[in-house]
Amino acid sequence: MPKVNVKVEFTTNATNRFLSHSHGKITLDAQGKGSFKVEAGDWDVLLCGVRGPSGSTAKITLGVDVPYQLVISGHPIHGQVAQGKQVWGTSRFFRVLKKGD
Amino acid sequence: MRAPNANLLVALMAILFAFNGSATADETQSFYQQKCRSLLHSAGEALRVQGGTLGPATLEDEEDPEIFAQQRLRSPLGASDVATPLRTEASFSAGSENGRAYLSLTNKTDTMSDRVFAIKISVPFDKDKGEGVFASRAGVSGDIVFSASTSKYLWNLNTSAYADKLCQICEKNRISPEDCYPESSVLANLQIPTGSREDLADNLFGTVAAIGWGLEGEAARKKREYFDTAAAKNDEDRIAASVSGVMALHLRSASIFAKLTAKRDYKEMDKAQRCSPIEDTMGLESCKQLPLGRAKEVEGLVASLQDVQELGDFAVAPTVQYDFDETDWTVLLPIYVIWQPADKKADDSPRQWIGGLKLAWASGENDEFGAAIFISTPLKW
Repeated sequence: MPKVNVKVEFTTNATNRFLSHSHGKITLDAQGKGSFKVEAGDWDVLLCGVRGPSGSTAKITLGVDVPYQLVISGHPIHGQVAQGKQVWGTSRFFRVLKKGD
Repeated sequence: MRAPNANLLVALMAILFAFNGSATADETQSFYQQKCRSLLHSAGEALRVQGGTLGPATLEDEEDPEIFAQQRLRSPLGASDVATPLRTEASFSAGSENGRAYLSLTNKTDTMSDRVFAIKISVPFDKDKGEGVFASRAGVSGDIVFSASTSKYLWNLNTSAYADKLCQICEKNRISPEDCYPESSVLANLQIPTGSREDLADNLFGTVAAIGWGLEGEAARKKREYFDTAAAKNDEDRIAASVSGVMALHLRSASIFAKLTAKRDYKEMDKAQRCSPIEDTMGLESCKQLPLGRAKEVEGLVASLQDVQELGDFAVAPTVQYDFDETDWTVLLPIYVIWQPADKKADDSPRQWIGGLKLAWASGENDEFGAAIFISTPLKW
């Protein structure tokens, strides 16, 4: 199966953030943008979260180029640090399929 | 008409998803038996090895020096605000702040780098000329501060417990993998005991969600003029220095900062006045005041422990400090009730705590209890 490039954008007003998938940490640039590769058809997971004062928000968006499509729910991922907490985190299982497969 | 039960709903959704690239029932079963836990575990391990990000590893440093005698606890100049990040791997920046011009170099790629190393040099900024002179033909500026800091931040995710709980619930209820996440509406429709979904997300973090540590060092040379005992004007520029080690434990709902600072500074002596007659005048004198004698060397070793947390509509940052040289304690209890949005243009900006009431007690020569209303720099997390 071919490797597919997945683009990701992580915007947040929190103090710290993390983002990884099953093959490693995803490095982001100053604008919170980055990319990683997954094998088409294979399941992968995105692990993401932030630390900051309550009310801090996060938004994580994934994208792939045609002819591929993402199979993911609850996307874009939105998160917020709850009242009285300093951290928020979640995960998403997803995979990339070729359109028509 | 009776409402369909949860299992029927899940089965219907599985059929619908099958036409949308979603997993079949067999794929789902195989996923939970073979992949669910290992994928999450691998993603968590990646962060454990490669780290996350670090915010400012510093103690709150707003001051009420006259009341609480905190001045002795602070570095000659704060080393925590080293370098403004730019958008390159190693960025170089220049500017002015707090009356000083600075040049800084940092390896921060953005405000959330996991490892930060920064150096900064600053000199007084001449507002009239719009410049700060670092060096001239006469040599390096007499009043110059060099600071360096490095810090590291590591998340402490508990992906094993998180994976066990999440995968177990999803497998038991035959939830398609892409719908298997804490906030999923499919999970929300299941009869999961109250609080369990919140626990599910909380399980992602250990009791200590992240740790950070850092080192800050600073050397400051300043020209100091004084009168010697023969009333002659002299000057000297001995170098003041400080080194701090910082450790931060970020819990799920609070942050604890520990800091140890060793410093050598110079305290100017009491001032004396020398007067001399002004030529071509009758009895008029020109007088100059300077410290009498060289500045006194002051060494210090101070340990601090601070807890920062929000409690609904207020935040607290109790701090205990111990000065090993003076053998005295300072206890501070700032209660923040005044806040502003961290980003005034954004509607969803988190609160930035900036002021409130501060209670303090200092032992030793400064033995006193005080209370004050304060407005300070934003509380740091």
